[in-house]
Amino acid sequence: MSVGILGYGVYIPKYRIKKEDISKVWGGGAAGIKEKSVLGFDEDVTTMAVEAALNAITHAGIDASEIGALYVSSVSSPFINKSIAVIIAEVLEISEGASVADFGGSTKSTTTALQACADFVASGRGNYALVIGADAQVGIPGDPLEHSLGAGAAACLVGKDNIIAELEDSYFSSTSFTGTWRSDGDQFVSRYDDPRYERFAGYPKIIVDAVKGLFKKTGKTGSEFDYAAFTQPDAKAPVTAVKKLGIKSEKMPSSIVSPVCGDTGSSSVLIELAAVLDQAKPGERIIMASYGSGAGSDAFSLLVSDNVDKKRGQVTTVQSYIENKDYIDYYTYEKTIGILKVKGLPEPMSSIIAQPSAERNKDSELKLKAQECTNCGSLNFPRRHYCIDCKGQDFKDVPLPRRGNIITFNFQYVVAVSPEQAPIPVCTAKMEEAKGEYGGNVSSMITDCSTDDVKVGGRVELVFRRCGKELGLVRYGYKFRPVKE
Amino acid sequence: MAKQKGLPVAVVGAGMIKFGELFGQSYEDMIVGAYRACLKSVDKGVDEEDIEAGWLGTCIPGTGFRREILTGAGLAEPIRFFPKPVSRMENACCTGSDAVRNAAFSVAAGVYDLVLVVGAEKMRDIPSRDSLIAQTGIMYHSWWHPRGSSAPQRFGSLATAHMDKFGTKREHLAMIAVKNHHNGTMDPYTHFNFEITVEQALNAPIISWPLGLFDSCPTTDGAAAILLARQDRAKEYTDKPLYFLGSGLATDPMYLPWKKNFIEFPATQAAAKAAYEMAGVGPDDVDIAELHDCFTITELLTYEDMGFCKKGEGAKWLEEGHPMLDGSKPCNPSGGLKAKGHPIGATGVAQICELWWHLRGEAEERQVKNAEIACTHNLGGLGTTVLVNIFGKEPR
Repeated sequence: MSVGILGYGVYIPKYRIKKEDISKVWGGGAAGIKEKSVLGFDEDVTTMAVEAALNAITHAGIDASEIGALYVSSVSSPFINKSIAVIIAEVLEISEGASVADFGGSTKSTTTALQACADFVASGRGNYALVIGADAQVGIPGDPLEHSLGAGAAACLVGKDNIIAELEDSYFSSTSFTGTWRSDGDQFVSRYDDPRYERFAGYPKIIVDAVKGLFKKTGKTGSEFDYAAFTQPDAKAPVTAVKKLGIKSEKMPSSIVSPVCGDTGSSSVLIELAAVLDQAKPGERIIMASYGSGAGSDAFSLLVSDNVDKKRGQVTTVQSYIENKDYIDYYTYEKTIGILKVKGLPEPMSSIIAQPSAERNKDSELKLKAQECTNCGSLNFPRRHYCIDCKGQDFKDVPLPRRGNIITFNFQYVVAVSPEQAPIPVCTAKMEEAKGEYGGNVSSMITDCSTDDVKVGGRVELVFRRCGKELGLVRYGYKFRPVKE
Repeated sequence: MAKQKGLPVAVVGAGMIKFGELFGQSYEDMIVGAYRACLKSVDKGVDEEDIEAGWLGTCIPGTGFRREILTGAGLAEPIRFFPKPVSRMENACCTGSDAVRNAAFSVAAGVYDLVLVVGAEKMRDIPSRDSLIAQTGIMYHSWWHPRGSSAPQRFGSLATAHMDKFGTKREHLAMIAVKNHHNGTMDPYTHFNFEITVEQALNAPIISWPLGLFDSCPTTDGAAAILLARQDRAKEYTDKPLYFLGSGLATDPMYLPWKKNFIEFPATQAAAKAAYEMAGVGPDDVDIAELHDCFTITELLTYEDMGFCKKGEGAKWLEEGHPMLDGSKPCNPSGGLKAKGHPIGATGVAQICELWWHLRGEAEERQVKNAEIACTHNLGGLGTTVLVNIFGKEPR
């Protein structure tokens, strides 16, 4: 029984930014990268992963409900603590009870996930497993990584029967050597600014060591491989590695995708594999190797089987994704990745805190102006058209008395204002010398006051204080304070 | 059993405030303003104590003017109406006219002899992007949210379909905007009182193609009030009441793609049919129509759906001049929502104020002559809920 790839699919967003358009602003560049792919404004790794997965499932010719494991690898998920693999599983409607997980931490995890798929199938736990790699990392404006980090996704459906390429053997080389990283809370990928040491100890060494490890394990040499499919952090390093390993490269240059799409991160190794499988013939052998800064490299040997010809033309090729493109300028790019902030629709707001209402209410809220009914003498506050007591319509402007006696009170432990300290005493007081049955009462918070200081009949006075913040703006007004007798 | 013709109810007073961007007036100020104007309009006077109940039409207190539940006390408080009953009505753009309808039913049922209806909406305290637009991204079904829906998008989709099927042009929509702005210059209560040209309308910024700025009514502050009395007691208040002849309310799917088609409002057809039947009249009998021109295309479709002309002939009927102020059936002599503004809860009540002035011969410069029967039409959502009320100078 041989385990291998039953179908594959990729997705590359249609937007590209040219090296010149970034250089125009910042200068610089990244090795061999002429343009890179950029997400559309409504895309992210989750949406790209779904597109790639649908392509792979169609190519494999199976029903998604038959998939028993789904592993998604990304280092640019929109979430730190939420699974995108499960969202994708629900969208694809894979089987109930399937094993679904997110892989990450390094772009190398894609091949770890691929091995997990192979092991899942080989162990007999299920017939089909799907691995997806997807990334859309962003570099600091002006940094070479801004030139190189692109967007893409790729998926491989792993199974046992009717495979188009057998996963012959694999070798894992784990090392914490770090060239690039993104720490918690960072939007952008950082890097050591020393290409000399990166060349000495980084990708060129680590990926070659992993492949050599596989050669040693399997007794094969570079000349037995027709194609290489390596993770492509830029367009030059993979070429050097292929040469060093003595792998034939006349059938296909070893950098197809990165010169025109950039570094597609976790999807890179599978996109390269897809580009190879788009043209490989039965009996040809592929060396595949992933790379992840801070993680190492996994190498795989694949043997292309007869089915590859039967399945030809049944999946959108990498080349057609590369060719389907629209260029955007640097400002659009900045908006898309969120450097230039675009103001979204505001939250619906209440006119109680809107400017016109604040102006209209100044007389009562800042100046404590009240009205005395000329008919019955009731004190109306705030302003009314009809007297609260007698429905009279004539008033005399009077200042609101500052002192009053508590009629009733509460201690608010759960409150709609902040950042006050609970419990907040709140009372309604009858203002001194205020007339009226309904009229003459005022309600407010009591400040500078402990719960022991409040009782029915207690004297309070109005003092000018901050009354919380609304829309980030301090609102001023009056609150009660116990009168010191 | 044959249904009775007409409702034994009459309008005995009607008044409103000038609509607009009323920064200086609170929601309560507007209600009091409309209430006082209404009381003043009662020819023989009215004792406020005789008003037995109230209906308050306000559509969007939640985000339109405050994040708070609004009860009928929203009317009782500013006019010191306690402890009398007030019901609060919310039914999208039919809010005001449905408040009138329900108030009329209470009188028709013999529960009350004299009731007050106030429609009020405070919309301009907050920027329009914060109120209607920020709110209407959902449009009933979460599928739509946020996939590009808005009120102009929904009505625009009908304009596109009508243009495609019947050859209606943006120029026709512009003619409606020009007509309503023109009428509005003669109405002292409008938000906008300036003329526009077809060219201006066509060249204005596009809101949701094919609808531009002048195809869309504004968001507006405003309030309007009417008093309804038992028909047999109407003459105690005025010798020239308006008789409530008929009322029809109908519903249609809320979610845009569930609509039957995009060239008509079935709920307008159903509401009109019900109202005509109750009133014992037909579309030809209507002398004046205050129509819900939230967008110009709505008014054009409404010509057809009210039966003023055949389906598909709205543009032709317009070209022939029928809905013009001097035409055979003046539509929106007030200036419509386009010029007057559309404070949602107030709109249906304010339309009745307009009919009050015309049927009583008090509409001055814009007076439509020899009008006997007139109707109001409100359309909520995308024709999701439609209400037609019919009034006449003579009872049924």
